[in-house]
Amino acid sequence: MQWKLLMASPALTAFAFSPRAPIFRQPMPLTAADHARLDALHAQFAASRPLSIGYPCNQEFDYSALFRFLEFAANNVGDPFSGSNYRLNTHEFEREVVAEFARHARAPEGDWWGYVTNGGTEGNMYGLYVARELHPDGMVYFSEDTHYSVAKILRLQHMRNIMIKGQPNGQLDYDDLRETLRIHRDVPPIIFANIGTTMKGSIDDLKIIRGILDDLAIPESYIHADAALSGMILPFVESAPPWSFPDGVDSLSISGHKLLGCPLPCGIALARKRNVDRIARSVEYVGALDTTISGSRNAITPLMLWHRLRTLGDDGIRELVQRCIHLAGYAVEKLRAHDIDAWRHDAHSITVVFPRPPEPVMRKWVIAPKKKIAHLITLPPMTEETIDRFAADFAASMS
Amino acid sequence: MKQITVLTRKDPAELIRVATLLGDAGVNIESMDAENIEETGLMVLSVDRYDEAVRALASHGLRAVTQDALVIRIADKPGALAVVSRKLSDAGVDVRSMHILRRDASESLVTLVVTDQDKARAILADVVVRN
Repeated sequence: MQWKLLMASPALTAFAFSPRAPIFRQPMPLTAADHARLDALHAQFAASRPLSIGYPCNQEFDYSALFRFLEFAANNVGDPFSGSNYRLNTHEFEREVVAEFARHARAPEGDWWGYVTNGGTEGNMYGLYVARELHPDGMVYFSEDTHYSVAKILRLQHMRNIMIKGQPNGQLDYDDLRETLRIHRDVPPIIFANIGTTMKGSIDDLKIIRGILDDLAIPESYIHADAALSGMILPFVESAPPWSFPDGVDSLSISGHKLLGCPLPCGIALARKRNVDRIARSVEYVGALDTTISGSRNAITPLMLWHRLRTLGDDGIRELVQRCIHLAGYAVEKLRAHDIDAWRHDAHSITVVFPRPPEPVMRKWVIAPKKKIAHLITLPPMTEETIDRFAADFAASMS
Repeated sequence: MKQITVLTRKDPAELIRVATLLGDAGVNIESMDAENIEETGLMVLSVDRYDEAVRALASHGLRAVTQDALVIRIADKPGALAVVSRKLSDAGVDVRSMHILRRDASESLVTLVVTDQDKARAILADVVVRN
């Protein structure tokens, strides 16, 4: 009866008997107005790129060799080290990328695990997730200079937390941390350490933090390091401050799109494998051994990071880092020559901090200020000429 | 009637600014208490349209604390937050989060999210800056 009714519909009858009946409509061509909008957006991007000096994004890259992969619905669902039934994945490349980052972070041989994330925030979320699973009653300590997304993660994961004061240079106030830990020594501390704060590029001193934990004889603790930008700088400089696994870090988050450059946000989460394995056992009850945060995961960004690491090599990254550091030094000198109080955390930092510029400068240059300060980050395509123009604009606006 | 705590610069003009922007958003202010703590202006507002007020304040770059959190003022010295936290946990109140809102020369303003706000308010009566 139902079949007869359906066949009575002229449209369905035509569909059922047409020898070339398309299952779906052909896509409509974009209108002239649509094209104009896209052209305008492209022009806006192109114009903004050289002025975007306040955000940590290397915008100099060429991934055209990978464009052909955009015709596939690739997906890296699941643990990159466990395989997947979905064959259109780049797990093999992802494993190589994670291994490279693990090498740079001097992760303990045979005792690390990681995956390519959607960016630094997911890496931080992963690290704090591992920490919470290991220490359900733990208290998270983080400085007031920590990126605002961390407060969101703590709320999302329902983790108890206390903000620690920051020093004027952007580092944790170690006296405040010590006194706070002393009073709460019965609660496992989960330290969220900044290896390069967003605004000042400041690096929390892991040696001091470890020393405080040891002095107070705190038996159980966890340190997660947010090394979003610096995680790909510090492996390539001499006399780097403590920042990684050999320095007592239990998990790390590093951004992929920041120093290396990538059109799609991405990053790396790294953690000690023995801790991840403990979590894997604890989540078995949900029937999934996959401990990554997302279900479907980007398969293109691992390919891009792999391409970038292959084409730059260690020497190429080292050159890139040196170029950025040189420019940061140049920017400090140039701004100071204009009587602008510019500074950076240390000789390795590519974040140059200065007083918040007047509005005309803020309108022209793409800068993210916070209260009374602002910064620039010396990543490509920035050149000395870019810095000269910015410093001249800044100085002119003050006079 | 719900309350919002707003942080501003220490400037009498900020009072007018807040009142004006809330009025423009169609929010009636039922009551307003204002005080200065060092370089920070602090207003505690009771409003009729709570969500609209919070949105309007945030869209104008003002720090608005909803009544889900307690606001306390404490000395800006090492471990000061931990002392408060310990006092609460000893009384059976679980502290979910303690965030520094603003630090001036000798005092800090801090938001506190706890499991039992009434009990915490009573314990911290001497430092709570909201009613």
